[in-house]
Amino acid sequence: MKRFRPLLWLLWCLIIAAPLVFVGLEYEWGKGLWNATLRTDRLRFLVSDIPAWVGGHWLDVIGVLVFLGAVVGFLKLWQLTAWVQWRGEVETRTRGRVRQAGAMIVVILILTLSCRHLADTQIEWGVMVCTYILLALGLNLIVGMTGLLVLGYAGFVAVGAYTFAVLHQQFGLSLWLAFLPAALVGGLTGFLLGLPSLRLRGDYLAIVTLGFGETVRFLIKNLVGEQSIIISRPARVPSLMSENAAWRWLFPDGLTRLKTELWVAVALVVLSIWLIRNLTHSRIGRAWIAIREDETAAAAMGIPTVRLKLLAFTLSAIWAAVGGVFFVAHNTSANPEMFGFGESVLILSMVVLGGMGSGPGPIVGAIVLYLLPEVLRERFPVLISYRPMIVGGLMVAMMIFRPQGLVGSLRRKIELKEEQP
Amino acid sequence: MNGAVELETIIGGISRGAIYALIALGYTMVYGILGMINFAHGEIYMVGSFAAIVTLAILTTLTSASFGLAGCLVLSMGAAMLVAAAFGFTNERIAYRPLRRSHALAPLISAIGVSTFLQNFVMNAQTKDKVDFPRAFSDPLWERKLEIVGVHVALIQLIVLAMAVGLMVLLHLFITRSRTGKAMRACSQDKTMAALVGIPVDRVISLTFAVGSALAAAAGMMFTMYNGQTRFDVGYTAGVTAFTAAVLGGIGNIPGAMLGGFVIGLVEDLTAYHLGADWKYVAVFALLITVLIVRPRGLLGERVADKV
Amino acid sequence: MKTLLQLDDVHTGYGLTEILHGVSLTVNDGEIVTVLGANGAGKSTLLMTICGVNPTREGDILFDGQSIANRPAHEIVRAGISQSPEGRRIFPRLTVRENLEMGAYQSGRLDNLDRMFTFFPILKERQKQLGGTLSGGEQQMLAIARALMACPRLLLLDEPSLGLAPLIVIKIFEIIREINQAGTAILLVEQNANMALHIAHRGYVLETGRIVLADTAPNLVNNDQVKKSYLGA
Repeated sequence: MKRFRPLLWLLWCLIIAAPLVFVGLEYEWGKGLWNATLRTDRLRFLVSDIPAWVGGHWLDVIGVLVFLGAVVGFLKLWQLTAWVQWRGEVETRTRGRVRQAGAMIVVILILTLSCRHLADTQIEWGVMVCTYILLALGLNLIVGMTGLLVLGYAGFVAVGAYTFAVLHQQFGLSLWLAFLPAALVGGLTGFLLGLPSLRLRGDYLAIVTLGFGETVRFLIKNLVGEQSIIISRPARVPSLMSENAAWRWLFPDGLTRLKTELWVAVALVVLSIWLIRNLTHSRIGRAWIAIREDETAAAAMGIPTVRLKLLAFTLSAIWAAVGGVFFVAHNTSANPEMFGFGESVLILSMVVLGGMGSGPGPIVGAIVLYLLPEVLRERFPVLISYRPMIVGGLMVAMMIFRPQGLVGSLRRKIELKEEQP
Repeated sequence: MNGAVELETIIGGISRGAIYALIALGYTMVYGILGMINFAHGEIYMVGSFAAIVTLAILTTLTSASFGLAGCLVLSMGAAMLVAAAFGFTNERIAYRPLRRSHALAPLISAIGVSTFLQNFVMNAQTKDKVDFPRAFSDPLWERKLEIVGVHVALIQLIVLAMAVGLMVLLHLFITRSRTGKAMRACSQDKTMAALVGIPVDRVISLTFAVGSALAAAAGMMFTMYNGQTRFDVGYTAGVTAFTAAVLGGIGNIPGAMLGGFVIGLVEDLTAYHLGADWKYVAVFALLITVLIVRPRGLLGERVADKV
Repeated sequence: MKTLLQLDDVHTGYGLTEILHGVSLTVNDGEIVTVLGANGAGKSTLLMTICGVNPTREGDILFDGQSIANRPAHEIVRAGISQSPEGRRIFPRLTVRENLEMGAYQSGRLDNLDRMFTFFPILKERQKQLGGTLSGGEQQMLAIARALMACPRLLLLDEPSLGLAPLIVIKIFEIIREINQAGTAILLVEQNANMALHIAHRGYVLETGRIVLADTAPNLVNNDQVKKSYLGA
């Protein structure tokens, strides 16, 4: 057996590579059986495409790595400041306030500068990154904080998005008024789905939510229709043009719709971070972590696990719905195909990459997985189509080598790597 | 409504059900032995369907299909099973084995990663579009109709049913009679004890993945032949449907998976016939939720049966 | 006498906790050696470490002069060590016969079946029954028979008397002695120190992961400390 190892290995390689052989199926079967064409040009993507990008753009690759390092480093530094402040002499609360105010000023400064200097494509990236951060933060509540794998997150996003779209279509509701009903409907959907499924074991829950995501899409297709619903201009985020001198000085070109959207998106993200931070540092948050670490023990301590899981589920769905409303308003139309399984996986991988259960994790994940491919789109035009493949591989690699994510905590690492006898 | 048409729908449902049962077996075997749901199983099925088509094309191009229709179909199924077994084996080695001792969330996420990877790997390597099963192979089987008590049954339906049932019988014999099959059952009951009597548990687990994947690939080949086409994302829907079948029968229970498959096939086809094709997925999902709430251990869950 | 098994300063544990803090012991050919100790002393962990189920973190385990530390469990069985574990761990949904066949997985010695059936006639009667339906004593016999199917040179027994009626306990110990007289060395872990010391040649006392006493069985029976803690005298 040992002698044949190399041979077996070779055979294995050949078998694994078999699906790479593309078959030209344009042949006419009517003429007989032997007209098939076998094409191996798809092999190219492994043999030459990927090496070619890396070879041709190694400077970019290094740049990307430096960028990644910078993002992670910045966040680590940020976490470190929290630690220093905690050990410091000044009263924690005051320190926290100062720190928050500082962060707000920096954010507003960056926003203002961005609106003055950045091109529309870059603003667009910003808006989309914020949307993904919003969604990833919501998913992190359930996947990261409570430790329940939800695979149909895009379904909740679709519920929110379509609540807005349908209400808009029927009653001409605008974005601002749609947030509340969308959050209600989204939360209700989460609550109703959670009622039966949260009593299930983790992997059952995952597959139920997986089925849910797809069912929502089917239902929308059949009940609402497959065509896109267009959100008309007055219902979207308005542009803010003013002849006021100070305004002109701040924003020489005024705030176009896109730029206002960036402000709104950032506001939503900041609000979310604040809410989630307070939530996770409260009794509820600690109970969630307890459930995540050992549900039986948590229940034995008197934590009402089902109720708390339901709460996390509902909140997560609300976040998704709000994100959905904003996304549709930004996108100006809603279509059932936008909320597929791929989207759920993308958001999940953002949470996983950044660090499940860590505060800044989803933010890092969203930035890396959305912004990076977009920014590199011009240099690596194929990268977008390979993104899901890379994301998949990345999720496996993260689980094996760094389960706590890029900026995750040590606690999470121990939890995920623990030996179970 | 016409009784004969109804019956034909039922027969169609049963042959599709046989295919679902084959996929469900893979879920149930892995669940029995590792206690986890292999989310990438549907993707293995998809890889199998592509491998079958590729093999058919290779056979027709290089050998001018000189093996004849049946020969080509059997060869392509064999090749698909081989490729899928290799994928299943690799999947376990890379994505699950390193995580066997870690938190329950880790292998799940890694499985999702594998699933996404495989789907997009095939999409990039093959095509985004639907790929037709060579009509020259499937049409003759559709055209030959048999009349059984006034009901028209296409030959293909019988072949699919016969092959699926044959594979299930083989699996049953393998698990109850062979040394390795018994070792599989032993592992699913007590892995530590299995190691203590000298069973190489890791190897048995790999084998379980390979066998389950081969069955899924056979299902993939037959389904593609039956439906006429495949696409890189078929594994997802088929996976959830077959999983529902496994749960319906009682996950971890092999006869249960077979029964569940047939029930699901019937439910799907009857829903499609009465309500429209779009609703069958909704029906399956509703069934999954109902089973999980009302009888989580499934139809055959109560019986003490082997949980391989 | 030749040394069959030698443990050299073995450390092991689960996760962050260490359970064995450097255990050294030897078993010679043809001997019955017993390890005494209270609940949680690490006796079962010790046996599982020898069998390769738990990793050896430090130290070495030699079997017949060859290191078996951190080898996969099935290779250790092949080398000639098999175990009848605590709680018997019969495969509940395999028949008695299949349970025995699994015992011979590495050795392939299915011809042993007849020997086991003459040794344990009750198992022959019940061979078509599912393992889970046997009584406790029958399960213990099955567990021992299953371990013997591998034709081991060293048999590890973990609490063979646990939960059994006194009469059956006596019978089990008779069987153990018979097995030993047939040439198999035995490492016996017991809480029933009286019985264990009665049939053993030598004994060790394990306390919280350390060997605190090592002597011949008769000396241990007369040792005051052992008397007080384990013999209840």
